Amino acid sequence: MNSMSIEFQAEMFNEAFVRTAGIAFLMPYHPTVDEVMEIKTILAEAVVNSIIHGYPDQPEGRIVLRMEVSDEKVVTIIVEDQGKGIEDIDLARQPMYTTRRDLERSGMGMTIMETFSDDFTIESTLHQGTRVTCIKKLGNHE
Amino acid sequence: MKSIVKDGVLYFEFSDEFDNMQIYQIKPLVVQLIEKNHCPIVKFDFKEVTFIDSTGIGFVLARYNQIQAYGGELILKNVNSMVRKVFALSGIFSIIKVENRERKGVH
Repeated sequence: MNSMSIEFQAEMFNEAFVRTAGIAFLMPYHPTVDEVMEIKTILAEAVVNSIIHGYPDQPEGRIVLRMEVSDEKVVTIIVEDQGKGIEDIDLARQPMYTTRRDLERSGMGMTIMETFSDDFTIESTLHQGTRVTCIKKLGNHE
Repeated sequence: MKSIVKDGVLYFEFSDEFDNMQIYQIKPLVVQLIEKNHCPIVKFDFKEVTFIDSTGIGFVLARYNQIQAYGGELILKNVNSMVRKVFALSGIFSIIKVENRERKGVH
C-alpha cells in the first residue's frame, strides 16, 4: 500500500499542477498510456468541479487530493472540498447537465469520471462540501 | 494556438494541454476571429493536442453554436484517439463533422 495527499487552493491554474502530480505519483506502477490519459482526465474533471462549482469566486477555498495504490495496483482517487455542495446529485450526474452554461461548461465532467473509473461515487452535503471517489484498477494489460 | 484564413476557411491549430487554463486564455481571440471573419467553414485542428477534458467539449460546442448562428460550418480535424475518446462521450460527432485526412497546403 502507498498513499499521498496534496492540499491546494481553488485557483484554476493549480489544476494542471495537481493533475501532473497525481499522475507522477503513479509512475512507479507503470500505468499504460490509456490509463495515464484516463486518470489525468479524472483528476482534471474532479478538480475543475471543486474550483468552479464548489468554490465559485472563492479562490481561497481548500481542496484535498488523496491517492492510494494497493498492492494489487488498485488506485483510489479522492478529491474533497468544503465548498457549496451539490443540491441534486442525480441531476448533476446526468450527461450534459450543467449549472454553468454561462461558462460554456459541457456538463460532461461526471460522465467522463464515471466512464474512465471502475467505480465512481459522489458524496455531498449542501454548504459543507463534496467528496468524489474514483477507483481504477491498473495493469489489466499485464 | 495558430490561426490562418485561407480560401474562405478559417483554421485554428490547437496544441499542448487543451485544458481549462489554456481555453480560458485563447477563447476571447478565437471568438473574435470567428466573428470578424464569418468564414463559411471553420476548422479546428487537434493534431498537436496532448490532453483534453470536458472543458474542451464545452468550448467546441459553444463555438459550433457561434458558427451555426451566422450559417457557417465547423469541421474538426486530426481528432486523435485520446481526443476522440473524450469527445465521443458527449455525442459531439453526431452534429459536428470530422475530417482526419491531412491535406497539403492548409498549414
